[in-house]
Amino acid sequence: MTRRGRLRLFLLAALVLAAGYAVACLDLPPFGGDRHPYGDRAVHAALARRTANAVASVNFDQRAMDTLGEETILFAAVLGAVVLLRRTAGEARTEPEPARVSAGVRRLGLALLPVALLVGLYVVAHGNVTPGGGFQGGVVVATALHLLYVAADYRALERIRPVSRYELGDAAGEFAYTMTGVCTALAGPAFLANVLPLGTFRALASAGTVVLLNAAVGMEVACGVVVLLATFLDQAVEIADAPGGPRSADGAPEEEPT
Amino acid sequence: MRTSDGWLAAALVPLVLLAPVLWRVATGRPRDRLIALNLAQLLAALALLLASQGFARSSYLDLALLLAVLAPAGTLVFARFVGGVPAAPFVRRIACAAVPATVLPLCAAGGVSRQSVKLLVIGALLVAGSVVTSSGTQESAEADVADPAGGGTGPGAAGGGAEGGVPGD
Amino acid sequence: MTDVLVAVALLLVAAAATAAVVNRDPARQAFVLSFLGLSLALLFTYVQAPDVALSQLAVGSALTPLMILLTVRKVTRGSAGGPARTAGPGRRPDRGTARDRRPRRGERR
Repeated sequence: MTRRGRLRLFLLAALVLAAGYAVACLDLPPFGGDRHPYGDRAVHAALARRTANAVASVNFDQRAMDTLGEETILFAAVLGAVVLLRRTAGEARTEPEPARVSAGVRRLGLALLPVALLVGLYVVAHGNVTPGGGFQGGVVVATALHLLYVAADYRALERIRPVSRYELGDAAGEFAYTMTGVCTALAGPAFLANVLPLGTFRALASAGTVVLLNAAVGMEVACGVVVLLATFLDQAVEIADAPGGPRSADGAPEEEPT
Repeated sequence: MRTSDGWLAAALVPLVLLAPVLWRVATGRPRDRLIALNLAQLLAALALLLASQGFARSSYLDLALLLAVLAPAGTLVFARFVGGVPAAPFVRRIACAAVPATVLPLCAAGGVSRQSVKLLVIGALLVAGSVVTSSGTQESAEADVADPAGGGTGPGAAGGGAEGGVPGD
Repeated sequence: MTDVLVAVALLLVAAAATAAVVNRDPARQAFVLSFLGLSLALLFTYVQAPDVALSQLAVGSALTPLMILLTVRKVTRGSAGGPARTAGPGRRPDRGTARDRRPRRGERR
């Protein structure tokens, strides 16, 4: 397709989108005020399904499909980073030097690591009861693991972080979320419907599938963030241009930019 | 939602104190910015603790717990790239004074309960984190990011020096 | 009283965001961005949105600064002409392992 053809196609699509968007905007309720019909119904539904955290109920129960999309966005972003930041033909891997860290900082890091891990898992597990959930807890778990990098050494981090296992974990989290939806579709009303027993209000095992989906998202986010940071760390600490300068795609040395 | 204005007014104090700290974070050398950021994280944690009591929602303590655990990690990340943890006795003194002054009245207001235990844990984490991240160490080997002109002659060329940072000790 | 807290937090966020835009060097900007994250988390708490505040704290305290600073280090290393310019942090002369094409022992890059 020529460039002008592409431009014309884009303008046509943009025109249709703009018309639809304008009609939708004119139909919106006015800003502010005391009337919150959606909010009232959402909270009512959350309480009816015995989920103390109404936000978790909206995220993982009422609109669980949207959260699947968001989780996939993170998955795709990590995938993109892995592809973009991989070691290419013109780069070589070098040994990082040991960093010098004081004994106090090292002790703090090693003491804080299990505490941070526990806090992260606590936030994931209590996602249906208190503020938090899979995403927040997953990020805390990933940060806790990287305490080994900032408080000790990159090589200490490498020991506990075989990246391929975390890539597996990332995929497993995404898979678990989708499979939960498929199972609920097979077992009951719809994809990602809440079919498990709802339990007691404010108990840890309440709100049905919210617990499972929280755990799946927690695993996916934690492993995804570890893989993402691994690509950044690799580039910043280990990978450098091979001797002779950067090479172009066919292996011939390129000129250094001045 | 019933709010307790006294506690919310107390929460206003660390919030307002964050303004001069912002000035320090936005201007100055990277080491000074690091110290100011450390102090800002401490003040923010205290503001969250007081707000949790003011809004009568104990679930907001999780926010302070998260910050107490991640703030030292953040400070150490910056310290790694600035060239060691700078010594900041000012922050250490404020931590040792302000954290008990905030946590103990909150524990008294909550009585003997799981919430008080959580408060004490948060307080201990805040003090430990602030004290260690303001203790000051010698230059680390990665001082080239924030001060590319000044950090280039660090001791990294000697490799594996006396300070035993090698894992597996 | 809640309105006062929200107003002060909003002012702090506005000031921090302006400071973040005014600081052009990425390494220095990372400090201000971390502070901005803290003030945003406080604002979200005061308007009764603790989940969002948790997300902000989790991502903005250590994760974002780490990614920014690693990127800055990689970029300044590359533009400074490689590890020979800096005093060797994170680099060491090759030891001649059989992994990739490497210079012979003793050859400095």
